[in-house]
Amino acid sequence: MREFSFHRPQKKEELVGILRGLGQQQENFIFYAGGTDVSPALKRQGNPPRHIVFLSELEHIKEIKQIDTGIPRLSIGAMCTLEEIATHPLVMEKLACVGLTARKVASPQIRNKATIGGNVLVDNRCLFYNQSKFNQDVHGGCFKASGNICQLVPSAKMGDETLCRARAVSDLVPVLMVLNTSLHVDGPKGARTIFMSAFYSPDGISRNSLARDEFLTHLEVPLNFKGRISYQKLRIREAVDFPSVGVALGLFDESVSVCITGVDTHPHFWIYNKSDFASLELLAEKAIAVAFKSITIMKQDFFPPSYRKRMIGVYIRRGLGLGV
Amino acid sequence: MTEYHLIGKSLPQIHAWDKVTGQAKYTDDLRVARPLIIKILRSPHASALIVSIKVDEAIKMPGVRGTLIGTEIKNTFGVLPISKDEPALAQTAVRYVGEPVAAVAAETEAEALLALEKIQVEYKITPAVLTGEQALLNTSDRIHPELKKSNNLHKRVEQTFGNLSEGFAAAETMVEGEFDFPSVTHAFTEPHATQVELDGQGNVTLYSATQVPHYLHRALHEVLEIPMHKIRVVKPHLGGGFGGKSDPFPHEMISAKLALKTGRNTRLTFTREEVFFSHHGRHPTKIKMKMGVAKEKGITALEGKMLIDGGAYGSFGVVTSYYNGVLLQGPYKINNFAFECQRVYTNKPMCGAMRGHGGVNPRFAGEVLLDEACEKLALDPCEFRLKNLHQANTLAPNQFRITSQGLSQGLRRAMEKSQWQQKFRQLPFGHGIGVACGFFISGSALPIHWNEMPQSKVRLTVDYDGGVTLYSGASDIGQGSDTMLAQIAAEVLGLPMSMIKVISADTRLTPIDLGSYSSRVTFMAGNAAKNAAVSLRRILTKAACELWKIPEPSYVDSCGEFDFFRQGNRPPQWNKNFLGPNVDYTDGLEFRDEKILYQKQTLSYLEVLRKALDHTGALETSGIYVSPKLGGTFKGAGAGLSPAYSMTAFITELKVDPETGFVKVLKVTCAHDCGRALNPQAVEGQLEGSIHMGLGQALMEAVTHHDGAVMNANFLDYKIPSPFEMPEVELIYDDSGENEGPFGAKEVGEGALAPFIPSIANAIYDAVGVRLKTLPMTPDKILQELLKK
Repeated sequence: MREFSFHRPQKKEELVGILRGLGQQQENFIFYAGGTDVSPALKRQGNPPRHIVFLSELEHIKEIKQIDTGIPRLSIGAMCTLEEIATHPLVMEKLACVGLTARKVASPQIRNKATIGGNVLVDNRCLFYNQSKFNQDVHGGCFKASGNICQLVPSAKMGDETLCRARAVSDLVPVLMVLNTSLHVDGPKGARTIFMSAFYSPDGISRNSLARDEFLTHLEVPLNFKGRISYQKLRIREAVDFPSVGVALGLFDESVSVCITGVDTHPHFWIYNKSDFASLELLAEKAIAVAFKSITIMKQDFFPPSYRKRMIGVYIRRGLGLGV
Repeated sequence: MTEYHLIGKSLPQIHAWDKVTGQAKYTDDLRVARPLIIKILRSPHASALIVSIKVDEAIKMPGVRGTLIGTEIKNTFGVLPISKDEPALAQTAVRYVGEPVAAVAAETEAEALLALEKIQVEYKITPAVLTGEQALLNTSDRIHPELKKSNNLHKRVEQTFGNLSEGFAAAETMVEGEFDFPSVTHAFTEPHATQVELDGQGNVTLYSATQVPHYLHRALHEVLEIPMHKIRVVKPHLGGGFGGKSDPFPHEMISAKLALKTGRNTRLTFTREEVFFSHHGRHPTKIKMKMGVAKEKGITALEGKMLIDGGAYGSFGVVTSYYNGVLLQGPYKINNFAFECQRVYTNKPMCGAMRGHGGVNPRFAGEVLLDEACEKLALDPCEFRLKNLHQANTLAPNQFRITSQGLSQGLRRAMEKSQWQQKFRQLPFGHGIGVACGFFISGSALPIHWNEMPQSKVRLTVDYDGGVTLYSGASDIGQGSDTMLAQIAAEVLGLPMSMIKVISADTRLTPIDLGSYSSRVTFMAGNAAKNAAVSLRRILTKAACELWKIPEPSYVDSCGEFDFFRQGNRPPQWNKNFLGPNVDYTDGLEFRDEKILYQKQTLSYLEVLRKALDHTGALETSGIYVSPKLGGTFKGAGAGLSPAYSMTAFITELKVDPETGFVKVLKVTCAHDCGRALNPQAVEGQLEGSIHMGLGQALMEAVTHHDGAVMNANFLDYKIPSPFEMPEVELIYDDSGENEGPFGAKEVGEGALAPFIPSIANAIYDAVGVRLKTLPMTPDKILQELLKK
């Protein structure tokens, strides 16, 4: 590893100042929350950024609280760890699906450090990218590793809407998306709110609409829903692994929301009105057909693409309480 | 059954406290003075000629004190004398992605890594051979042209016994299949590590995470071209081997050579990725197997053709080639039997010995075919196995001498505990139960290097303070051999374990033991330890008798006739220094609790010891182990010969989700005949570990490659089971009356792994009617077969 400059702001204003300064100097930097995603990446990169901006000492982004003004919602600080979320009484009371999904991530040791902010912003993964620099060089690198080819789709070229096929792997994103979660970010250009459903982009490198110098402060999850949320995760082991497929389903009074992760460059999200379908069975058929048509599954995972595709269908049906 | 003070009791490892408190020093924990850090430059190509290597720019880098390239360390080496084909650093060609090409020694790791980037290597890429089938084709692209073959075949072995045609003609059903197995890796916790320390007289001490200090010692001597007495090999605490540390390695040669070249101590620790490059894991294997079965005659014929993909170098591969076939001669009687195994070179990291060594994949094939045959004949697979096991004290057609056989009893108990008869073919769809059996050696009767030396020697010394120091070359690789040795000595001498101080695996201090592989250590080093302890006991007995003024007991000549089966009924021909296998030390006296008792008289151990010291000072005894002469005279007769064999039965119950193909193993009943369990806690640890490892190979593990490069060189992508995958486990290990193992012990480190895997396959078939012939049996493969139905 190279030498780094560490920044440990405690107040938001301090952080914004640091970001402005780094921007003006055109210095490369990286945010470091729990470090469970960033740290392996730093070790892997041939030329990592020199500046590391730690978020662990920032005030006011570790709280979980209920906000009752307007639509009641749960505010979850971006620096809350997954283990805190998995065991927090307010989360388990109001949003048990979120807590239970957090328990499906990685392992207790990792959850003790990994943050929800890091999870919703986790980097996309690919068989050829998530390798040592040595292995990347053996194959000639890839766009995501600052190379000039995609190992999965050699015909991809600069300018394509989807340049990189690295896949989205967050378990919490689909559940939060089904719950109509909003992301609250801040930075030198000021604070803004983004709905999760509009946040992610179809390229494995750019991934989302967060600006380079923006940081997530908290998430807000509305509590005014009636229904059942489920999340099913395909992985060969019951610990450690990222999702090979992740399907979140929200079964509400009048609609069904479906969000799928783990298979494409971004999570796919649909809402179906129940009234448009004569039966839940027909809704399931439609949802599966749309998913199959929309999602591109690459050969970059433990399971073959055809199996992962099939599991999307199985999980949608199971989430709707239907047999296969 | 004799009641012992310590034998048969569950004892924690003598190093347990050190390990759990972090005090145990593994190789990387050691601190030699001012070491240079070594980093290795590795080949990015699977196959290429080396046109030139330039290190000039690297040498100039800050902190760099030395570099090394292949032409400076030319002698090749290998664990087998007939396969010394591996260079420490590639010289004219690279043969796999990750092969060491050059090395740098610098003051810090960062400086070494920066210097590596400055080494310029010009390659001329050549066509790579990446599969076993490709390797058999005639070609000019030979990975080892020095072998002067027309293709990339390394070794072909075959054996035939009986008459296959007659055997198949006598069958009431024939079953056959083609089986496909990828490579799997040991996945030990501790990466390879080495530290080298020099002294002022040109002596080199190499501390290394090795299973085989003696073989490493020999290889260092040959590669460095310095006398063996100037080289010392020490194995510190070691975090798992399973065969992945049972060869001498390039990094060990490099570390020593760079130390000598720079005049400085060195240290080197692998990254996990480098461990995968080193590999030495299980060979990818293709098997065609055919079996004839008849209700009353049993297995009437068995024929197997194996192709094993050895990677770039030989390692243990010749032995693996034999073990692919010979181990199928147990646990069942098969009079008409033939196998052919071809091992080929490919441009991938080399394969070698991995727990179960060559016997695992063929065991899967045989047990699955046997299950299929039993179904066709409407036979209960457990009852059929019981009827056709080798009995105790018999010879197999390939002259394997079966002594004790506890599998019959074990399988019956497993059937009862698992409720086999109530469940087999009677569980609802998606829920199944299956059985398989296995067979393994307790050490190879023949050493790798032909010689007449004992296979193990143990020395004991004791002086005025009463503490007994036990010296053994055996490598404790986490399996607890140090504990086993202490336990045996303590039992014979009537002392607490705490009074036995074990010094092991140090070629300067400890007598040669051949190493921790082929499940030999308890049987061989344990016997040697017992012999040494009995010799010491006899000295103490003499002193006690002097104090009591009574005559000494007389001892039966331990190397006389024994009441155990001898091959061909020929009399035993033991080395005259060998007291005997599992020597009986009945002498009329009782040694216990640091006392020596005779009739109503008691002396303390210290009192007796100090009497014994009167004329000689410190006492020293030694014990050896020598295998009996075994085996036939045909080619390959020595492969798989062992003084005793373990046998195992697994009954596995599981569920299969028919919508996803996911397998959940619910309960495993394992009956393992290890003779007598010296330390039940240790035996259970080995069986549970075998179950975990077998579960991984069965359901999820496979090393994957892309253009010859390993693509899952880490424990996120290489899937070893998590604790959540482990099933409920019931273990049965009753004493089977083994005569030759120390206190009746046989092996427990490897034999249980192989049959667990096909028991899962057979249970999957019982659950959902799908019979897979490839590993791992992942959900997608199971579902694919289900959808075909």
